[in-house]
Amino acid sequence: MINIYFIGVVISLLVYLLVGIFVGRKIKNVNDYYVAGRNAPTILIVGSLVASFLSTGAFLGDTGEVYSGFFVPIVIVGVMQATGYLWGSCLFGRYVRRSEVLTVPEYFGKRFKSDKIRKLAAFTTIIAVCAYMLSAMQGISTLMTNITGLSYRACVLIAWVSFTLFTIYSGSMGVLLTDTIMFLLFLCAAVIAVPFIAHNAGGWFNAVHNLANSVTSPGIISWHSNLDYMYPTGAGNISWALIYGVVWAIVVMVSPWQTSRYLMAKNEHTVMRSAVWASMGVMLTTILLYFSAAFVQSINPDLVAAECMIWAAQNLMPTIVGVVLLAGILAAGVSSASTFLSLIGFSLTNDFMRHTVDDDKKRLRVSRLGMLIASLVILAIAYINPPQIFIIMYFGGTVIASSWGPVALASIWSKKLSKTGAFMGMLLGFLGCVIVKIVSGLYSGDWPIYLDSFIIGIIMGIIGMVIGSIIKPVTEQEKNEREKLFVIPENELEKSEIIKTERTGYYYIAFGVIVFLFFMIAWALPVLHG
Amino acid sequence: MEMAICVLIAGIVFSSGCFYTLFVKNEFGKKISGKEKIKK
Repeated sequence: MINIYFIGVVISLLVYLLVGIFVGRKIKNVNDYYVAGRNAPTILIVGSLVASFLSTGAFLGDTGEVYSGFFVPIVIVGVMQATGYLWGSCLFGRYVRRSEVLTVPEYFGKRFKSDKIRKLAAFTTIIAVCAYMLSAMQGISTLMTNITGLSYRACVLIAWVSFTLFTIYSGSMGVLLTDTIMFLLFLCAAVIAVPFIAHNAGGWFNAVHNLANSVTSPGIISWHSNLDYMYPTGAGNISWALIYGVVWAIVVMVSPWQTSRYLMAKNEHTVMRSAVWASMGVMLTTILLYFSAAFVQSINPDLVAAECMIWAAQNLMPTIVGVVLLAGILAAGVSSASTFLSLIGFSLTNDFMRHTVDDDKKRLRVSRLGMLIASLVILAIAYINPPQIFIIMYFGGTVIASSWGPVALASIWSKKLSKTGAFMGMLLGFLGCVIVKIVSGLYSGDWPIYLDSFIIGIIMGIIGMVIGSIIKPVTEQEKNEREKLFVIPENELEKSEIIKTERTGYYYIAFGVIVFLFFMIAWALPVLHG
Repeated sequence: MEMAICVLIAGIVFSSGCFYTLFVKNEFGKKISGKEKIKK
């Protein structure tokens, strides 16, 4: 049971716990606990954005899909979702920060002057976040089971302890700091591990060449992917990638676990610049991981797909590098779970129970109690359910993209969206997505891609927005509230800050050129000459 | 087709960078010149 990997992972967990306890002692009020005093610099926002987004779903779920033969679609989704940071920070994130709220559901309540929409947003947040947290917890448990040989259920308990304690105690201040430590750890892990895995596969270009001629997973690295895996045609697989690329880009743009990070930024320029660096960080980490998972397939095609990176850490690299990689995968899971748990607690007290709990100290206590109860519910579900990391993660993401996506963007950019329109849009988007998910899950045949839960959910959401806004048009009060969002605060007009923010845009354009050259040289040309 | 996928991927990244840069210019660029005018 006790081996070097287990010791390494336990040490990393203890570090997070100690950091959480240290930071937790500095919390004085709910503002510190919810939004870290609204004073976080770019590095902490970048760390928390990436760490709360990339979970075991990416490290074990996505890599499992790639290992199974789905390389190009997962890469396309990875790239598209990462660009969501830029669109999200410009079109939504900076306005949410400007509204000076404590939670994103509170933003909707303030914007539309409606307690009903605030509660609906909080409810959808809790449903999606619980699903996502369950996926992260199952991922952490799968990893721990592999490392220790302990039963899956025992590992579920360890996973629960690993993130619940410090999150409940330290709130956003602790989560921001531990997220950043964990982000740096798993970024390093991904960068360091790839050369070892490629070396074991015969070198980068040989590995790509071998995958192009793979017999065990034919087509794995070509544009159409392995046609025996998801859809029987290349067009079907690319369509799936484009749809889910949009889904995850919307998740990055508007989801509560991403936009809530912006509430903690010290100014709007921090929001904008963090988005650029976070996008590059997510893209770099995921692309390296996906290539690694494909290389593992060429080395050992007989693994359980979702465990290919765990096997690689234990068999394809020096022990110390393997420990770093496993600690990095664990960090990805723990960091997301801690953010999700804090969001649940904040939504419960700030959006559902704010009228009954008005004292600061009492609110802190209720927040912590809410988190404990939510984490126990997730613990119970994880305990009795087998791990389905990829499916559950995609459920959480799709629900938020359908219910929040159109309403969130229109809340800023549409003059015609009214309170009733926003409520109906969010509700129908949520119901459309969940109902189609359930029906398609029960359906035994191939579910057509054009009836995907996201497409149906988003269409129903838009219909709801239009009908609701016709039934009850925008009031003067709602109009004024929207106009307030477009007033740029004086302190955001510092020339040096604006120049720095503009410069990050040029860095990103240059990054786009590098991405093109990388894919041409490291993937397309070797595949075409394979 | 692999070449087309490369162009697609790079196009998505590149266009997002262009959108961001233009957005920042549009949002803050005017404000800078406006502020400078006030200062003068």
